Amino acid sequence: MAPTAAHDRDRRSAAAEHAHRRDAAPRHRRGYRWVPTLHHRARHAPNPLHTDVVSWLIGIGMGMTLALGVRAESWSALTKPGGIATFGGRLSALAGTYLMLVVVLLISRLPAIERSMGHDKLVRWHRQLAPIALCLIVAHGLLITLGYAQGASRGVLHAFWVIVTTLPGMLMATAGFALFMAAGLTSYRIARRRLTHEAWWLVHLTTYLAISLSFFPQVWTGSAFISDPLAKLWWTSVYFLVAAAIVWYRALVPLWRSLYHHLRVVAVYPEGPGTVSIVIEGRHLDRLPVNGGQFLQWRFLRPGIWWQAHPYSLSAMPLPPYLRVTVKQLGDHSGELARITPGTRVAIEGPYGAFTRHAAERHKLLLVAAGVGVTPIRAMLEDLPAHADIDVILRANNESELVLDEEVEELVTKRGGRLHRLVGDRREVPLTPSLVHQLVPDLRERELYICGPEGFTERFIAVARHLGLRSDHIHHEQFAF
Amino acid sequence: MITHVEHVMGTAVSITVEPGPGDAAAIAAACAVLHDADQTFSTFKEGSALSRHRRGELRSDELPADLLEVLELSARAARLTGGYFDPWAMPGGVDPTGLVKGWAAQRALACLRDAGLEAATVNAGGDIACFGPQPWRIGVRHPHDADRLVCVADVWEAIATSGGYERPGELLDPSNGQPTLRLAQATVVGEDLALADAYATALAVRGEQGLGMLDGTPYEAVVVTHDGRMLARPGFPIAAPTLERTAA
Amino acid sequence: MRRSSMIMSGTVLGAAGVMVLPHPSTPQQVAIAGNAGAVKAKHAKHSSGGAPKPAATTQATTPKPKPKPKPAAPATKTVVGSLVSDPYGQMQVKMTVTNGRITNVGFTSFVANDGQSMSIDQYAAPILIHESIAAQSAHIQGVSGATYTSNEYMQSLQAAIDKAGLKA
Repeated sequence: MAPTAAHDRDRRSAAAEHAHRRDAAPRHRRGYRWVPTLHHRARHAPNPLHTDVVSWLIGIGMGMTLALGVRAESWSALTKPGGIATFGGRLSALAGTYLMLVVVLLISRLPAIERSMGHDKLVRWHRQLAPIALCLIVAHGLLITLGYAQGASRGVLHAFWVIVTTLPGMLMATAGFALFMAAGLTSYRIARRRLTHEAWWLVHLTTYLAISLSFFPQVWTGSAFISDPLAKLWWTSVYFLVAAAIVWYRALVPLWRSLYHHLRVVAVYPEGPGTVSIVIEGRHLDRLPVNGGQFLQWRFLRPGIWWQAHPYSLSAMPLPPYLRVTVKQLGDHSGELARITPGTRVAIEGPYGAFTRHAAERHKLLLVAAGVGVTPIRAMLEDLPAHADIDVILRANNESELVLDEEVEELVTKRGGRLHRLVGDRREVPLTPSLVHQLVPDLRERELYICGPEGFTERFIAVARHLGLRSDHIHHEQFAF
Repeated sequence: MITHVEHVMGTAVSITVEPGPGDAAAIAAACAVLHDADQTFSTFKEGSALSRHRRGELRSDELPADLLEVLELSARAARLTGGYFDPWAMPGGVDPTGLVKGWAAQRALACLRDAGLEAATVNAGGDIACFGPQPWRIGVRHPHDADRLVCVADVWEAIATSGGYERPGELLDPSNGQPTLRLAQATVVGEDLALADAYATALAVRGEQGLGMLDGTPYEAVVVTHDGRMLARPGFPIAAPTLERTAA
Repeated sequence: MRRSSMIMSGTVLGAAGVMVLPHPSTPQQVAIAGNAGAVKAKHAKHSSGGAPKPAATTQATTPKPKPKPKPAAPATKTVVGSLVSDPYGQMQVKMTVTNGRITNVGFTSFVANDGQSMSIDQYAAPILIHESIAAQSAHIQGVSGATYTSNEYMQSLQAAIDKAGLKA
């Protein structure tokens, strides 16, 4: 839809109307200028077919695994005392372990799923499915012990003792199980809040060890495997593939990328109170497969902070040889950003995220950002199709928190869109359907991209739904990882 | 009942069957199996596969399947008996002869069953394999008095007896390597005749204390000590005494 | 939403695919390399109750089309034998063959099929049999005793029993 002259006038006047607020309070002098560029052509698009294939394979694998367990059972064994409990225990082991492997695959950064689903969605599923897998594994332990106790007409504790001390690999299984429980329990919100992020992460990492340990007792004593070399081959392949995915995509690819692009910090510029932009220089940045709106995991290689990975969105498309992130100092990492001085080497993981132009089905867009949530929106504004019809809303409590708004305005003007700055606290700017409708009358025909603090995004999305926007057209990036 | 006695493997093998169609052919087939086993396993025949294997003349790819099966069975039996039955401890090389009889008898019995006969038993020198709608009444010979029995057992599948007549070397105590016979006789009933054979030998070496070895297994035993006491495991199937019952 | 139905359909498909495959209740013996002879399939069923265990049967497979030319034979080779299923567990026998001699025997796996083999009771005290029985009056169908030779057989009880049913 080609913009008409009248449309242009509206746009420019709208931009002007809100601009007066800008001159009211002093703004930071930025000290640098980043020239935005426009990328019209779509690149690095996710392939939904890949994700479909992975979904099918996951399902087929689960079916095969359960069927192998059923097949290895004999009717006579079932009718003996304890037979049903033992059978149930074996099935729950198979299902629980397979599910745990899927849970690990979800966060392996496999591009086939990460590009379409997005890292944040995968982490959410990881969090939801892991307890189910853990429950299945607990059920396995209980049912097997019960089954053997029934079969031997002995007490459950006695059966447990005999199992752990006589069957091959059971010590490994017990150790692995204990690690699982530790990782699971510490991930519970209550426990997690009491631990530093690093301590929690270390415990969580031991799940890799737990999963590896449980492999051996499975193939040494699992009835589905020891009599069936094909089943053993299958199970080993599943383990191997998941392990390979982890090693490849979480370790090797990021390592290679970090070395290849040879990144180092060149400058740190203040953007506002507590907010800085970090400019990073690198080689071959045209080869970095980035879409506007994506983030990377950054490690700044300085003592004390090198082992922390920070997920920061790029606040601009790569401008070779430069990359930029804009960061607000929050939480327990405040002050550490001061250690990020020019010359600091940088290691990366990613780019990750499905919060990109490829998620949109429509060409009419509404981009909403609050505070430092403007960073992916700002990057995305450089990476949209030429015919995109865009409305942008920037929300901040006060002027100084409107970071990067001049660049946003420049881009919106270049693309022929509308920009609305909503500055003030909640009383001054109530987020109501009528206000939003006033700003964006055709909201229900647009694709919504929103990024900001949780409370704000929840309220805005509720308003958007109220105004008739369907969930498939709402995209939002959850920043808390 | 029809009985056929075949002299093979250095002993007399009694094959008794419930008469039925094809019984003669079945018996002939069973005898062929016994002779086959003799050819493969006889240590008295220089050209038998076992003899050649003992002399180290066979490469691993030349081992016949039967020999391999018996060796595996022996290995399993050695493990199950805790080493008290150990064909590898024999002088002159591995000698599974102790359970070959039972193994061959069971093979021969399979011919009879495959022929569709109702009931049959193969007694290879004291090791008996059988099948049928009812258990066979088998007397356990008394080691010191040939006309008397320790007891009568109800046998569904297999029974084997081991005692002072065993070949030298087969009765080695694994703890000291010395030939030992702590019991005058040991008899084991169970599912597999070869294993029953192995257990019986192991019991004879190990003695009364070895009776616990059969816990948790589907095998039962009755033993006779050197001083004449006859001891049976509580689960041993002692047959109820009957007054008038024909052998057929 | 579409993807979850893909996963569910995949599960059904995978399960069906596996169930259709023949069940390996007949574990194949690993054929020794170059053995153009028989490969034995052992029928190992779990027995229940007092049913007699089916004896092993032999099947000859078609011989390998061309025996491989023998390379310089390695001194030691490990042969993994057939999987054996007892009523109380499964184990796989592994033998090491050195220059053709079986030099070591081991077991590679074990699992209990049911709770039976897990019990480690003290064995109950044996029953003392007070009196031996006269063989003549016992009405038995066979005799089990320590091995006898062919000659010894002639004088044995078994021979007496056999006489009743002997057929040339």
